Amino acid sequence: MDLLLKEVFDLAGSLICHQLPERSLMAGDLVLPVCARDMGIYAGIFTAFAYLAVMRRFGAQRPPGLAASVGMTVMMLPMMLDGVLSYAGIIETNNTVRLFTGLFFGLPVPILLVPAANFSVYGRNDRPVLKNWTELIVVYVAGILICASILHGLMPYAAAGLMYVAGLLSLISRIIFTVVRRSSTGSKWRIRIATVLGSASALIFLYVLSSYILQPLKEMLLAR
Amino acid sequence: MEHNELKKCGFCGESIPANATRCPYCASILEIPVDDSYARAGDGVTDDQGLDQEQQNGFSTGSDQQYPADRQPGYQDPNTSNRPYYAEHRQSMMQNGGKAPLGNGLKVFLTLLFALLPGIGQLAGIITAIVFMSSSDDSDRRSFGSALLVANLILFILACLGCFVLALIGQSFT
Repeated sequence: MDLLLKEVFDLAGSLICHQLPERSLMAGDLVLPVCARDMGIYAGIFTAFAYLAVMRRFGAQRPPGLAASVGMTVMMLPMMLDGVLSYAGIIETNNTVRLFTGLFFGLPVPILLVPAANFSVYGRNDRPVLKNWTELIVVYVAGILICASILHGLMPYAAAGLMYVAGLLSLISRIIFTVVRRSSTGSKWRIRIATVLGSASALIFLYVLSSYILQPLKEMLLAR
Repeated sequence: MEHNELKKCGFCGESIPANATRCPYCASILEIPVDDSYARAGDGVTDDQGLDQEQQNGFSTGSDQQYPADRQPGYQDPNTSNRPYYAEHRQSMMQNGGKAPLGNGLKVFLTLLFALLPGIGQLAGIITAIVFMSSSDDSDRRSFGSALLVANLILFILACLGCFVLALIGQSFT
């Protein structure tokens, strides 16, 4: 059962990640399906989506205030700097840095994406995605705790894999939903069907990209 | 109002259906909610040719029945024929304390700027979008802001994916 689960998660991980073992974290004896940076990104995306689902904010219209938005986007910079500088060979990085900078990159995405779909140009937009700073802090603290548990191997492999898959599917479907919602005035069902079809197409595209580009490159790297 | 009645778009000057809320030629929004003070100001404020702002803008306040016949929807002032006057509309709004709508050139410039700078450009675009979406009195900025936010979020994710693939290619061949 565990091996079957691992194969499924590894296939899902291969869609967007190089899965190099030295850059990935462990859960027990098993290597997580994606690298530390991607694990952080999708843990952040999952945490924020889960919070919005629990608080019933998927219909939120108003984006966070300017100060919160600037704060969140500034927190996204460390992952970009870490990625660029380490790929360029300027700095040495490690999995802890990759995990937490990835988390701070992933957390704001759902918080900005949800109101982007529902924002009304002429309406009052009286449903905020986050009501105050406390909520933002709660989301970040929850994300940090989840990543700390992954880092120290406290989270079971299945839970970490499910979190990654849920984060990936939520992100893709929400992006497609946002594009469909902003560009169409169709009924709810038409938007839902278009979202499902669009998400399936995006997954197929990622599979093709992975099969013909990512995996051959990964094999070249591993063979050296 | 019959469907074959026409009016001039206040932005591009094209003939469009009188009941249109958005110009089919230039996509400008013609009918936006305005408060009473704006409508009252329109009664008193006229330009040098005696045209009030509502006629200039092509806006409808939604309470047309209280205005004289020359201000009803579909009325075509001969002075406004073949006269696209976006610049005048912009100036008149600024003179009355309102925000001037963003020019199309500025919108194109901002969109290109944010799209062409990977990473930093999209982050700046997200912040700019939030600023525009927070404009409480300007539907043009709010509309552009929401489009900018969606575009920059998607571009940001695609840019990250692209950078990752490029970095992997670079590592594989060095």
